[in-house]
Amino acid sequence: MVRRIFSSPLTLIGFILVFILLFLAAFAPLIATYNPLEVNFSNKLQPPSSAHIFGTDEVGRDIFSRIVYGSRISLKVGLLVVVISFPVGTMLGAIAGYFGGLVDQIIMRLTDIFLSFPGIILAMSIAAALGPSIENVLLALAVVWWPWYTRIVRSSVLSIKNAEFIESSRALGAHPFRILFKDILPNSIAPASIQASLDLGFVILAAAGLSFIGLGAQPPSPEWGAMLSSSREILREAWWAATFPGLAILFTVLGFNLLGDGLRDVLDPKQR
Amino acid sequence: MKKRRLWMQLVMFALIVGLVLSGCNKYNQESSTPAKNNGKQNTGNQTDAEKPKDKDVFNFATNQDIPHLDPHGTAANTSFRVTYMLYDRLVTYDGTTTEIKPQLAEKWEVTPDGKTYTFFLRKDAKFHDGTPVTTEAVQYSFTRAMKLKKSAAGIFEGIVDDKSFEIVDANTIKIHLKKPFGPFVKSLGTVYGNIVNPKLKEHEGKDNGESYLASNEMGSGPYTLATWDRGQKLVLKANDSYWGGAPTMKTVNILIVPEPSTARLMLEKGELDQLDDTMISPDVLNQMDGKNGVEVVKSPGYQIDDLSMNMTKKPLDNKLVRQALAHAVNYDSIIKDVLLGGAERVNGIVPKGMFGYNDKATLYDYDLDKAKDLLKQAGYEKGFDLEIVISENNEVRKNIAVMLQSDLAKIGVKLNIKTLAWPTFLDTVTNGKHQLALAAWTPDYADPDYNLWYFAHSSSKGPGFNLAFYDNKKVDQLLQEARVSVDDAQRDADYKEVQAIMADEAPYIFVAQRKVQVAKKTWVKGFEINPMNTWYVPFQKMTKE
Repeated sequence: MVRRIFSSPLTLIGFILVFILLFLAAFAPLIATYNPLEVNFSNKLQPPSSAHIFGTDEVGRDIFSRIVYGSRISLKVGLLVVVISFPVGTMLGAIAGYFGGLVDQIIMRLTDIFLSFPGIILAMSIAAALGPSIENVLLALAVVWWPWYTRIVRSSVLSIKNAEFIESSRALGAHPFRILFKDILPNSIAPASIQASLDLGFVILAAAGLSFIGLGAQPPSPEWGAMLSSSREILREAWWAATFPGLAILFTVLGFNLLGDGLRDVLDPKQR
Repeated sequence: MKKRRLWMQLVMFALIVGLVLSGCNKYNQESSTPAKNNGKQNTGNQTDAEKPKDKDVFNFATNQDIPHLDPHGTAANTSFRVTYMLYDRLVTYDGTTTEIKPQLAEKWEVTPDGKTYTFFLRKDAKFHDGTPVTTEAVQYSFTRAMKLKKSAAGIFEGIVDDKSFEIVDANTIKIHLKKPFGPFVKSLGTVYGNIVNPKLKEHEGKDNGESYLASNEMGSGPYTLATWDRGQKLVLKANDSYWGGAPTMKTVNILIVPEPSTARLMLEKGELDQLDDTMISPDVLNQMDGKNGVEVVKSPGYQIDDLSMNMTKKPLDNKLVRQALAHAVNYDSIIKDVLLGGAERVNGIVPKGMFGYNDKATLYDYDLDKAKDLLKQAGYEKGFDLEIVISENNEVRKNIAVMLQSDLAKIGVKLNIKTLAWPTFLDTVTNGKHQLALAAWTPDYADPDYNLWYFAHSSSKGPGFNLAFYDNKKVDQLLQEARVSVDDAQRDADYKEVQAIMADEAPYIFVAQRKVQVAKKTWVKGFEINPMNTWYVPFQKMTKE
């Protein structure tokens, strides 16, 4: 199976990018060359050099070190949002799909309501109402993310709930929840988990976007979106201050998506 | 489906990056080729950039929206810029001076007890509909300002009421003050002293005409309102029969450009003539100066950046803690590295150069050891957490906060920075929900009363802008005494004492007194910056050459 995953060069690239991100996040204190929060005005807006390979920002902080530490924030947000919204979404989807009827109607209309707003706009309003902080962004994104999983899981539950092995469990007198969690969920969760791996990238992008418009990470946090935002005014004098955080976001999102695509090809050939 | 969205997003992203980069490239070529080729090949380009297209059209940009045009009802600086042009006042501040000059009033007299003022109006002033400006209009306008109970009412409160006006004839009016108020005439030169056409009565409705004047004008000023596309563009047309002579600029376009870097590009390309002084950060201003036909005019200002410490919140109720914080601010580095020299130190809320400034009040120095000692004395050896609120889209305040954060960390204080949108920020600080807040203050008239009353008097807590919620009986008493006194020596002494008390008790940290820095095209002539009315741009006498 591993060989099948890496037979595609794109998947391999995705895997490498994600691995680099994980590595940076895990060993940030060892990799970073400076304290990411240390202000040094006499050294501000220095172009990339051997001392500061990505240059310094508008208050003299080392951009490379900030990006390295920023990977922790992005990864944390990405993982937590998926970890919160995935179980909620799958659970609701499975219940809706298996029981049908009124329960299904209620749950699905609820997801429709959430999906009818553009996700980022809804997240923006939630984050704005809760006040700007990275924790609130996390919460806001989790709130808007679960309906996707609900839909995916519901449709795959619907497709197998009348399969013969389910019928046999039912005939043996198994409790509906036992059937749902022991038989149905394990067999219908694959598409949703692929979606989750793809989503890590999107969540990181959305969180960076919210931080960019000032709703997310607060100074001096080295969040990538916030770094982009504070350096956009000086883009023409100090291209490095906005370029490197931008590239970090680009490669992270790309990495998770290539990896997710590869996983889908392997785990769920039907969806191709 | 999601996959397709990703590719769309990536394509869009690439497109945007590409566009931005190509924009940069073009700009770089334009600015660097003349140097390389000695300007020979680029003469065509150069003349394009150095000669204004329309000499009587002025394009001005700001990044803050104009909320409202009621001359008595708004406190927004962007509105002031417009109402100053639409309306006249009895007296005015003109050019770089902070002394009043006659405008609608040719001259005025005051009785020795300081309680009755007589104003003599000029006879050639007319409102935009052709009716002459008479004393009836003066009475009507000031009474309306009081009835409205909005920002303008503050300058009249407790000093005049609707029975104070005595019309002698069409051009002479007496105003009887309830008690003497030293800066009375000065206060009439602010936007709140704007004179409105009494024909507003026809549009008064139930709100004293506020909803009508919010988007219409009934003034006598050098400009009339042509069109207003909210959030986009406001156009002023010259009033050619203005009593002070026809304005030089026939059309003034005030454009709302939210993104400072866009405004900068437009200025460099010559699409704009001048930018709002608050929209570009000092770092970028320095880069712009002297290139692409842009110059940055620097001039003394009365704006003071302050850090208010909410004394109703622990541990800021402790004087030693406040003094410790005042010693933890690296003032010189802020002035040198954040404000890039565009400021100087100041020890109180009364700016240097104004009457009543106390140069002997304590000036806190940057001394972390002393700060640590003071915290120890206060019993906070182990430090504590603090939160500072700042408003968004302000690089300077963000950088000051970040610097303060790293300095405070060295004395064991963990500072959390919270960035809020402007309306939320105002709501937070005026309701005292903050611990520390960074803000700035510019007086509307040059008298210490204006600064000290709002910063230190207990009645100004919250919305009045006493954001430290400072409450000191002695200070209150001194301020009240100075307000009603006509003896300048007495007032001077009172104000100096208040500043000395405030410097010791440190409800505020005074970060710096700013210079005003305005980015404009070199072809713009006749622009003068007033140290306090920085939003007074004299379009009517500026030229483009």
